[in-house]
Amino acid sequence: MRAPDEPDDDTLMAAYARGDTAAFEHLYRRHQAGLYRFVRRLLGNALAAQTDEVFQDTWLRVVHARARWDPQGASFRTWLYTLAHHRVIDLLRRSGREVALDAFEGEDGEPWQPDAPAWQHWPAPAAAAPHSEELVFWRRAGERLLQCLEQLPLPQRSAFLLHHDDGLALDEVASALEVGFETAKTRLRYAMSKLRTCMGAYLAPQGEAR
Amino acid sequence: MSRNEDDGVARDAWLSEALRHAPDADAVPPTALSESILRQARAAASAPRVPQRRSASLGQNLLAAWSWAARPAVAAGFGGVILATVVGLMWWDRPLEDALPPREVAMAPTPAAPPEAPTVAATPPAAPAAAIEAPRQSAPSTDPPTSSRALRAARPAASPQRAAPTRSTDAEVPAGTAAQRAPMPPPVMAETLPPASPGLRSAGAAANSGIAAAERREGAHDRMDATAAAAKAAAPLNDAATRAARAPAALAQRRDAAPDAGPIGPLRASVAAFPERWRWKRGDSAPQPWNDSLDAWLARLDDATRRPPPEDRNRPPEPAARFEAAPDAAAPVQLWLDGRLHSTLRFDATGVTVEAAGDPPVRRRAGMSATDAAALRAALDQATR
Repeated sequence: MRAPDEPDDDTLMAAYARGDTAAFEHLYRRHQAGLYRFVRRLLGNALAAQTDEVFQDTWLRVVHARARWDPQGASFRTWLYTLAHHRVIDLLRRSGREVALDAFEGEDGEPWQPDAPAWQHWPAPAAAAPHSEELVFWRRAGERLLQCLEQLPLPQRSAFLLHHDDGLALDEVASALEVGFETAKTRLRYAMSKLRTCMGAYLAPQGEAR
Repeated sequence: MSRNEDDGVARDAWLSEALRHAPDADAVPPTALSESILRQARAAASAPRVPQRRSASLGQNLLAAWSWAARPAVAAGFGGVILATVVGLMWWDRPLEDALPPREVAMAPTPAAPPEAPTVAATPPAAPAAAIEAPRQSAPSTDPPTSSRALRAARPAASPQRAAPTRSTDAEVPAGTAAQRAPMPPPVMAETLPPASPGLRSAGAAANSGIAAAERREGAHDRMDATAAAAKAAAPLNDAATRAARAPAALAQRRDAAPDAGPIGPLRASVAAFPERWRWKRGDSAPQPWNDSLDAWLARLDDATRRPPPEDRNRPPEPAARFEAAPDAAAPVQLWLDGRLHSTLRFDATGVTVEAAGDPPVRRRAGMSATDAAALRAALDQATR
């Protein structure tokens, strides 16, 4: 998150388009971690070694497209993640992996919604200073979540990561993935449903985990 | 409140927390990678982007030009220019008289020309002034055909004097003078009598150009009667060089077309056009103004040279030495135009020789009977007494 007195992304990108390299460094520092994480999680463990390549390629495309960049319609962050998403798809195709364009292939009906959260016995999230036991639990949950993510189709995975990890609003997710709002919403709901199922099946409640 | 909350797709706090504690949550790009990216970004920003800008600018400029040309006002303007160009090309090289509707001859009063001013354009009015009479003779109506097209229609009736150039639109011709010259032959003097001095040479050239222009118009008429392609191919040329090149051929053709004009006819027509500009001189006397007696004598001489020719009437001009050494030659009479010697008439026992001043002078001889020659010499002596 940027401070209130800091220039926004669009202003920085416009400044860099005019030759201000400091503006680009500012942009890079602001988004490098989130983008790197997004690329790494989209690629998964199998293609983790390609993360640096995709990450660098994405930023270089930003560099080369600075003169053509137009802030109309989408924010810089949305555009940045769109570039990264395209690079990931290209890499997956080059590697021979099948990229499902239809995120709902094999899905029947509405995604599963638990009557009650499967992890209702889990410790409360967002604790400022979790106990060591809770911290261990959440790290296990994190590891498991990454495994569950790799089981998701790429469109659902990207929708979930943009929405839950990078904090994009649903319309921004739709813009970044270049799909309609309802499509993005459906992808996100399927992704969350599958992840809940995946996480609830393997993660025992806090009391049973020991 | 964000839109996803409105749509019931709220973030799952447990999943978010699990993501936050994932093993790669703190992953950052390697420092070397970041340095490489920043270095390339700085290099790209400092490098000139002229080619990229140029290509983008060219495309944008073409697009902008196309958008501008597609505006209705601009497109209408271009259309008008194109239409005017097409119409102009269709009328290109067409004589002006053909492009204009027929109109009447404008008879203006005689301009008060200075009698002794040796101007370059002194002679040309004579040709159109005489030329206007040719259609008048052939079509003696109150409203004579004045356009080239009308004159062309009246050509058969005026065949003996058809060789006259027909610049009917000249307005400098006095009406009364024109009426007196009605029976005169067309002025072909410029063809037969080259100018003697630079001024007269210019006048003669102007007359030649007038004849050439008439010839050009006639050529245009003839070509319009032919096929369109032939007409286009044979369209008259505008440049002066071409006109000058065509002039001798036109003169020769005209000379053949008017065999009865005689050597005196053109000179008489020129004198009749502006008699106040002419002087005569005989012997050592000073040039005298033109008078009616000489006018009548010139008409008589003209008639005599038009009669059925003796056997030597149409013989070619003889060497100058022959005329200069004529044994029974009378004192020649010189005709001066605007203060310059124009022609010299020399009589001998069997005819008259008209010597047009020039370098070299051009002579033309008309034979006649000895009786006529003697009578004319006597009449000349009396008129120049």
